[in-house]
Amino acid sequence: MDDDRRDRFEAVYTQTYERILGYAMRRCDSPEDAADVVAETFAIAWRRMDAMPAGDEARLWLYGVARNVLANHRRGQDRRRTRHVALDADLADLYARSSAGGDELGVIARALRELPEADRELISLVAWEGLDHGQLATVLGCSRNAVRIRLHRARKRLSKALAAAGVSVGTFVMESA
Amino acid sequence: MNELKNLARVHDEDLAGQASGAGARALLASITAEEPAAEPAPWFVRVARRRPARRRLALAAAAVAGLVTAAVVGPTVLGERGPATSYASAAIDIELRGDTYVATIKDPFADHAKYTEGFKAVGLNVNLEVIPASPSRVGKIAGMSLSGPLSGNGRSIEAETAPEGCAFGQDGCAMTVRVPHDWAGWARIQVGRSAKPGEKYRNLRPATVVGEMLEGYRADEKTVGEVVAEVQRRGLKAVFQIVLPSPGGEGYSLEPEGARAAEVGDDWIVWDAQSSQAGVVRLLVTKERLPKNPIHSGRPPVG
Repeated sequence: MDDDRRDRFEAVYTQTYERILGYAMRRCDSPEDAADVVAETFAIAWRRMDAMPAGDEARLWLYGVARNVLANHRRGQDRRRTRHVALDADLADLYARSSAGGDELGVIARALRELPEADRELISLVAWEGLDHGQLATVLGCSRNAVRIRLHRARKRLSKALAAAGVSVGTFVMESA
Repeated sequence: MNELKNLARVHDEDLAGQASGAGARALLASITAEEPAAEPAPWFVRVARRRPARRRLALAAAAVAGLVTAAVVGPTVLGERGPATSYASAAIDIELRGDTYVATIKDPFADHAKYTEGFKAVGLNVNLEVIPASPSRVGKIAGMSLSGPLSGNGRSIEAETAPEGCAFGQDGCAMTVRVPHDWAGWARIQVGRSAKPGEKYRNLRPATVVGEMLEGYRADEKTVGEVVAEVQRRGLKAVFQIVLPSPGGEGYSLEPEGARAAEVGDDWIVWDAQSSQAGVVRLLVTKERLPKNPIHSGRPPVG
């Protein structure tokens, strides 16, 4: 029965690892922090497997866990506790190969960074994880209607920030899939 | 594509194949090495708080230690106060050499609680497990998870066999695990020993990497007929594990090893070959050819 649990976990792990890794890398400035978030998210999933839904819902559930892990990580002094040697090496390599966007994106990046955390996360989940309203509702644990309203407001605030920075808002595609 | 998407440090597509990389596999091994404790608390509540979890672990370890104390043969505890500096039992010896605790695993088949008890006696929170492993992981750390501040000398936990390169699990081969004496965190470590006859490996390892049964062969995307012929040519046996791709094309699930094996035909497709036990490789197969490898996200297995 223990092996069965391991097998089930491994299946979910294998099919969601790259998504959670991407989620963490896009939100963490250092490979160590991203490694911590990935490791902690899956460690929680292992302990909380009974609560983990099946199929693609598992990915959304894991985004929710990762989001909490990240929030606690940013909040507390607990960061850089967990060390996984091989994982650190992989992440360092990935960070070395990735670029954080060109200079022309600087203004937009700044505008996004300066949004309230909840707005930024909502917009990021759409732009980066490609989630639709229903999926956002699952990740955030609220109704689709609440998602629609919050997203609308977040986009409005981003547009305003961009307009203030002199970026033509008309060129923006911020629709969800 | 739009500007916001371009802000992303990395796109998921760029990460294809990472799930089968060394870091991902090591993390998986270390996570699943922990016995999953029942956690009835709502999962969303302070999910990342480490402190309560550690306390729970310590309590569990203490409970286990209480149960097995009588079974340990003459643990020698030196030192009057605080943690001892050395420990000896039939399962494990631990002694302080300079700034490092050197633990020698004497009985690879001991209940792993006995190792934990030894580490606990010298004040270390190290949970060590010895697992039957495929050849390339015997005598090596198969999984490790560390938590806590770095030690003063900057070293982490290391392991080696004595004599060097011997097959841990066989007579005359010991394994030592070195832990900095001021290590204040906790660690989970899995080390690989050679399997007993007929015993299945607990680690997951492609059979096609260096040191494994199908070294130098590419099994992925070949037909069952082709791969089984190669397996038999090498005097090995194949068992099947059927892969069930999810309807949406995202991910897959697995039948238990050997389930519905009679249905597998020579024209089925192999996506991965893993070391199952000595002389036996596990072929992960589907009936239809898929657009991309479900196990390795379209990349060949690496190890």
